[in-house]
This record gives sequence, C-alpha cells and structure tokens, in this order.
Amino acid sequence: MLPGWLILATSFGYLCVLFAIAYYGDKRADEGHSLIANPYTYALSIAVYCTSWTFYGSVGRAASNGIDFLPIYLGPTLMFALGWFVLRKILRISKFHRITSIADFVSSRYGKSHLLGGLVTVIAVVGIMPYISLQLKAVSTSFNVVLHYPDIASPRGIGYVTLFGDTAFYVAMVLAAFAILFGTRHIDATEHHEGMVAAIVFESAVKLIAFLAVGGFVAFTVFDGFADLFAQAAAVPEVQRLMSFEAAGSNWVTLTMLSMVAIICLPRQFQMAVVENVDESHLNKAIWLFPLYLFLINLFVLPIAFAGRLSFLDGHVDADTYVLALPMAHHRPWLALFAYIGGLSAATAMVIVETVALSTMVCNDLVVPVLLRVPWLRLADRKDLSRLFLRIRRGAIVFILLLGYLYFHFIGGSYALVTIGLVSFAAAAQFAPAIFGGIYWKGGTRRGALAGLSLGFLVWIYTLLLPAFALSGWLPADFTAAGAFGLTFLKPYALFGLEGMDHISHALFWSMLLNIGAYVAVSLVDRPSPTERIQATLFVEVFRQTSGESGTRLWRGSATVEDLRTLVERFLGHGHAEIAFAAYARRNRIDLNSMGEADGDLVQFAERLLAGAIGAASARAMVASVIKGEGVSLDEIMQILDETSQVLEYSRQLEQKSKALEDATAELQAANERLKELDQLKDEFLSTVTHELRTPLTSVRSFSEILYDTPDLKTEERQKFLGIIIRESERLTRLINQVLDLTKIEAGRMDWQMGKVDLKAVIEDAIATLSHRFQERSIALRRELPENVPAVMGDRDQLMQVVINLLSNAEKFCRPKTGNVVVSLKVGPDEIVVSISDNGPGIALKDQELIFEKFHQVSDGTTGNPTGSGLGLAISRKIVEYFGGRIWVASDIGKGAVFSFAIPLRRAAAPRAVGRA
Amino acid sequence: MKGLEPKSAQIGALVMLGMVLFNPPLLEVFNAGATRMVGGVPLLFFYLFFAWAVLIGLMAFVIERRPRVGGERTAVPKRRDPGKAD
Repeated sequence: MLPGWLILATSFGYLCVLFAIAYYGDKRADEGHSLIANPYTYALSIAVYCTSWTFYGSVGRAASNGIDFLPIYLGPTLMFALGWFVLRKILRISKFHRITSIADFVSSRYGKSHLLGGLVTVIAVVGIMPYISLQLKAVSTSFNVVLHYPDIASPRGIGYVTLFGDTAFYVAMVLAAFAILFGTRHIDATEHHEGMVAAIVFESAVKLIAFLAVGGFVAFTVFDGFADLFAQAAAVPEVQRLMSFEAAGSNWVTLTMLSMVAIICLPRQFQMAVVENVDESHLNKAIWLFPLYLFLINLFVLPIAFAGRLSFLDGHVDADTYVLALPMAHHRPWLALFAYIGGLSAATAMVIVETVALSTMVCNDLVVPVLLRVPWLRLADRKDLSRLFLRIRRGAIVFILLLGYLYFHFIGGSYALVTIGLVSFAAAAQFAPAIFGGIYWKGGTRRGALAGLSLGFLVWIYTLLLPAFALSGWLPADFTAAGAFGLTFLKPYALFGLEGMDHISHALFWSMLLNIGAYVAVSLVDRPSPTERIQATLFVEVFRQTSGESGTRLWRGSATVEDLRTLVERFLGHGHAEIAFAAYARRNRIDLNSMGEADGDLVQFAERLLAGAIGAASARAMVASVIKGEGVSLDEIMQILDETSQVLEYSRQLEQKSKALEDATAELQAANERLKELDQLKDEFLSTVTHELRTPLTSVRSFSEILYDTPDLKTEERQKFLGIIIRESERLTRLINQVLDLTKIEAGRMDWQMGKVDLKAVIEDAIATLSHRFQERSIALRRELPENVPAVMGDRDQLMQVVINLLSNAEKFCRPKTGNVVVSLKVGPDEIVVSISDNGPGIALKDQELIFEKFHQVSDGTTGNPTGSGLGLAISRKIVEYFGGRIWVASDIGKGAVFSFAIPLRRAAAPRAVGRA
Repeated sequence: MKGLEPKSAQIGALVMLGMVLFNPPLLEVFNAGATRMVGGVPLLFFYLFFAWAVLIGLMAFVIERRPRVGGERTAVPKRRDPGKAD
C-alpha cells in the first residue's frame, strides 16, 4: 500500500535532493572545482533528450506500433556521429561569439537581426509549449496511477482535478523556483549554470537506472528471460503482429530525419550541448557515450511493451503507464515508486532546462530589444540594468511554466504522449535550414531566413497546431475534416490533396518544402548587407577566422574606454565588468586607465561581453550607441575579411612555396659549383701527377736507352748512369706512394694507427734518418728540445712523415756550407708546437698559403729544379689536421722560413675527420 | 572530400553506414515477424539493436584510438578543423 503522503513526500524529497546537488555544484564551481568539467557528465547532461516521453511514451508507442519508437533514438545516434563535423563547428562558433541560445545563434548569423531572433523565440515558445505541458501531464498522470495502487486504473477513469488539487501545479511551481535559483544566477548567460547541469546529470542517471530496473524486473522476474517473453507474445496474434516492420507504419524515415534535426535544434538540446559545454574536446567522448545512453535506455522498451500487452490483454490499462502498472500488477510497490521517481526525473530535467533556455531567449531576443526601443522607459539612461534583466528572465520562467501548465490543463487531454512530442519536434525542425544553411552556406541571407522560418512556421501551425485545437474543441470540429472555410484543398491533414501520409510526415513535407524553398530562393536574389556578409564569413569559416589572433576588427575605434566600461557596467553590473576588463588588460598587457581611445579590439571585446548577457543583436545596438561618428566602414571590413580569409591565405601559401623553391635552387647551385670545382681539381691533379711522373720516367728511359745502345760504355760511366736510373726510380716510387697516401687520406681510407706518441723521440728519429743528407751538404742542424715532453695522441709513423717532410724541405732550400736549420719543440698549455726554421731564400707572402696545396712548388731560380714532388706539404697538412692540429709557415723573402705545426694535448680521442678536398 | 583527416573520413563513412543499416531496404531483409528468432528475440529487433551496438562500438573505436606514433598521421600538424571539407 502506498499512501498519498508517502508519494508526495518522496516526490518533494527527490526535488530537495536536486536543489542540494545544484547548490553544491554551484558552490564547487565558485570555488573553482567544477563538478561537470568532464566528458562523462557532458554526455549525461545531453541525455536531457530523454524526457518522460521516452520514459513512458516509448513503451506506449511500442505497445501499439512495435519498433516504431526507435527512429527517435537512431536519428540522434547518426547526428552525433555527424556531430564530429556539425556540432564541433556550432560549438566553435558559439564560443567565439558568446552565443546564449538558439535564437541568438540564428540572429547572430544573419547580421545580428532583432527580428530574426524574435521570430525564432516565438516559434520556440509556441512550438515547445505543448512539450512542456506534456511533461507536466506525465507527472500528474503518473502520480495518480501510483496513488491508486494496487488498483491499476486507467488515467482516463480519473475525474477532473481542480487546479490546486493537482500535483503537476505544485511540481511546476517548485521547478520554477529551481530554474530561477540555478538558471538565472548570473546575467551573463554564456556562463555555465554548473549547479543546474549537475542536477540534470544526476537526473539522467536516475531515470536510466529506474528504467533498467523496471525492465530487468519485467524480463527476468515476471518472465523467464527474453526468449520466454517473446515466445509467449508470439502465441497471441494481435501481439505477434507488433514484431514485424509493417506495424511501425510508414513514417520511419521521416522520424529518423526529424529526430536527427531535433537533437540540435530543440532549445534545451542547444542549451545543454552548446551553451553549457565547458570544453570543446568533451564532444569527442560524447559522440559515442550519448548514443550508448540512448541504446541502454531503449533496451527494455520492447520487453516492457510486450509484457504489458500480455499482462493487460483486455486493454483497460493505458500503454503509456505500463512502466508503472507492471510493477504494481506484480505487487512491487517500491519498484513502482522508483519507476515513478525515474519518470519524475525525466520530466523535471526537461522542464528545467527548457524553461531556462526559453527564458533566456524571451528576455534577450524578445523583451530587451523592445524595452530598449521604447523611448519613455529611458532604459538607456539607467545606471545598472543587470538586475532588471535578471528579473525579466525570472518572470519569463514563471510565465513559461504557467503557460505550459495551463496548456496541459485545458488542452492537453486530447493527445497521446508521443504525438505531442512529435509536434514540438516538427516546430524545432523549422530552425534547421537557417542553422545548417547558415554554417555551411555563406550565401544565406537575413531575408531568406526570415522568409523560410515564417512560411515553415505558418505551415506548422496550420497542419499540426490548429488541428490539435480543433480536436480539443477550441475550433469547429469540421475544420480537420472539411478544411478551412470548407475548402477541401485546405484540409490541414491533406493539404492541396496530398493524402496517404501520416500527419507528421505530411506537415514536415509541406513546411520543409516552403521553408527551405523560401530560404534558398530569397537568399539567391537577395543582396545582403555588409554586417550579414561579415557574420556569414565568420560563421562559415569559423575554423579559419578564429585560428588567428583575436579575429578581425569589426569596429574602428572612436569610443573612449570610459564609455565602454560604463556601458558594460550597466548591463553586467559593476563587479562583473570590473573583473572582465581587468582580465582583458592583463591578457593584452595594456593599461586601460591610461588609454583614452578604445581600439578596435577593445570595442569588440566589449561587444562580445554584452552579447553574452543580452544577445548579439542588442549588444551591437548598444555598442553602436557609444561609438561616435561614423565608427565603421563595413565595406572596408568586408574587404579585410575576404583578404584575410582568401587572398592572404593564398599569398601566404605562395610565399612559402616560392621560398622553398628559392632555397632548393640555391642549394642546387651551390652543389653544382662544388661539383665543378671538384671536377677541375681532379683534372688539375691528374695532369700534374702525370707530368710529375713523366719527368723521372723520361730520364730513366733515356739513360736506359743509352746503356742499351752503347754496350761498350766505360764502367765508370755506366755506374754513373745506373745510379741516376736508381735515383729516378726511387723518386718515382716515392711520388707514387705520396699520391696514394694523399688519396687515401682524402677518401678517409687511411689506416691510422692511433696511440700515444712521444714527439721528442719522433723528432730524434727523423733527424737520424736525414742526418747523412745534412752532413753531405754541410748544413748545420741544431735542436732545441725540452727535457720532458708529454705524449700526444696520433699515428707515430704519420707524424714522423710530417717531421721528415719539413726537415727535408728545410734542407733542400738551404745553401750548402752556410745552411742552418733549427728544430725546436715548445709545450704550451693546450698544444705542443714543433717548429723547423731555416735560413733559405724564404717564401713570398702570397705563396705562404699556396705551398700547402697539392703540387704547388715555388719556382725559384736560386735552387734550380726542386727535387720535391709538391705533395709533401699537402700530405703534412692533411695529417696534422686529422689529429686536430694545424700547420703554418712564417717567412720573409731573404730571411728564411719557419714551418710550424701544433698538435693538441688533450685530444685523446675522436680525431677530427679531415675535410674533403 | 579532399583535405579530410583519416579520422574524419572514417567517421563520415560510419554515418553513411548507419544510414544504410537503419533504414528500410535493409530492414526489410530482416523483417521476418515472429517466424525467425535469434536467441528467442525476433530477428528484426535483434538486428536493429545489434547493428546499433556495433555502430556505437565502431564510433568509440574510431574516436578513442590514438594515432600511431611516428606514423604519417603525427607527422602532419593536426588541423584544428577536422570536419571542414570545402
């Protein structure tokens, strides 16, 4: 037994929990710890889509039409997959323009038009009102059903209830209080109502769990699993009929498309999915989480519907109440109460969000624009308007809820739950062409949207709303049967003789035909104003326009900072404005107090601040009122916009490409020159080598020929010739060895024997090797070597080669008898320097670098033909450089030369690779 | 559809798949009334919920999968507007 007070207490206890959650959510948000800033709560908040229409109505529809309820949930699944493109774009646009509602979105897109925003608001209020009343009706009906436990009475049997005896009235009032408390905390409507969202998230969880509980109970306790349930159903012909697709009726595709559009165009969905969105990235998870929620909440619809049909075969129980009636019929009062709470949460969540969304629209797009235009109110002179606007919004909430309640009370009885929902869907669908056209087609204009929306709305009224009035007795009953004024081609369910469709498909076809047709046709012949063109570009190209810094300047500064600040203060209140401006100054590192004239960015910032509070259209009008003089040249802006969006983009790409090309060309040229140089060097090298080889070869050959031709040569003479041949062959061998060494080093194929080398010993060995030559020519050789010389890293044989090269060079250029060569070694902090000085003719400055090149020989008459190959110094340089050292010469003509090389001390490892020739 | 990220193209394909799966020509194939049951559930019902679950699973898979590290996908800087295909 469930006493009335218990149900009432539970209901209001549940609502109190909602208040507590919302209060806590707001408190946490104020402390900076958001409860809802994650993708899971975002997905759950969008589940406000599942109203009592889902909770009770789906089962009712399934009980009479089988699978027909499903398109309402398949559509949103598809739309959320598409949301990857569409919703993301709407989110980006809305964040950028601080959109407060769907009316604001449409108005903002089409040149911030007051008229369009107002029209959307009117359509939304008129179209959604039945939907709100549907929720109240569900609350009232379900309360009565549970109240009569265990008597499973049909709600049709319940008599008329007075206004104040009706639970729905009190629930409506409590919800109004909730919406006022948590839906109108700030004047800035783009600020998130975190507490409200937290409560909605909780409600989404409750209704899902409640429905799953009932479903599980029915399928697994009442029946023995799905197989048992469907087997029993198949045995009853009239229930079995529901298992085929034919039961669903002809409007499957229509319903899919309608629900696809509704999931974005319903004001409460826009509020939750777009305005209350904390972070764009949350969308990614919601794309599959929200469809998953829909999947779960629909899983048991068919089992409950079939079980209901089987349990109440005589049809005395309304199918819309199966969710409650089944637990009651099987004597589970607590489960019934839980199901009732689930239904209550579904209904209240929808009512709360819808009223908050609608009140924002009514305030920003209907009341404020009118108030600001009425001169005798002198609103423009009031100091602080934020309180006034909050009061308007609160008034709007009460007004909408009362209207919804009255609608339910006087007219709602004539409809099944599902039909009312679809009528509202069809109204919301009228926004679709303006919204989707607006974000993908720049050509859509304000007049096009106005024409499309008005025509679509009129057709909707005529084909869906007026027949509903006729059914409720507000219009003559023959209106539906005979058409307006008795004209049969005006029959609202068969307009212009179009028959054979269900009412919704029929209405949708005609309204969409005229809506889209007028939108496109008028837009094509229209010439949009500059503001429209700017907004169109900003919306359609939102990803391109917002990626740049702060977007485009839509105002040229001729307002003072003080004017703007006062303006914003009047609408947002002193504290809010102060905080916002301070944040702006900090972000842009400017001092607003010292700034007299506001620049374009600041003006735009102020406009966007205002837009968040009073909507785009009013914000524009207000900012325009403080801009002095001409303010903006819109054509100019348009030009800038077009340039930034297209020309600049292209030219930037071109610039990048041409720069890349230039770089590539330069690289190619450098490589080419280098190749040429190398080629030339190789040629020179080859010709020099062959020349150098030919000289000794020639002498070897000529002396050999002499010996061959004259066998009777004197022994003394023959010996002399043979000596020349041997010397020349040796020279030849030496030359070839040197060429081989050089090419090996250059190619990096030299086999270096790295180890610790004592340079002093190397010098001593080299002197020992050459001492006989010095003695032969009586050249003095002195050494200045310190006692202790630290070892260096290197190849002993190669270093010896260097010293020998330098010594023999010195010997070669000295005159006999007077020649004097000094070998010295100095240990520095970083390196060891070996110097070999001679008193020869010296080397001219211009030749000092060249002598280290290959085959460069200083031609000097005094010493005659040099015996060197011209490779010694080049090889020496390669060797020294390989060990990280350097080699150089200091000399003056006539004063001898000093050849030095230095080997670094600390280069123990990793000798540097020799630069390629 | 040039300029679409691989992920966007995959999601676009899933939308089209869903449209085909959930609409009449294909539904008629599975429309067997009570004559054919899968695990005790009428074929039509089973098919619709099964296809729905598969589609949601695929959406989750495509969206949650991280792009391969070092692959082509990470080499290109991520565009901020994966959906725009103008």
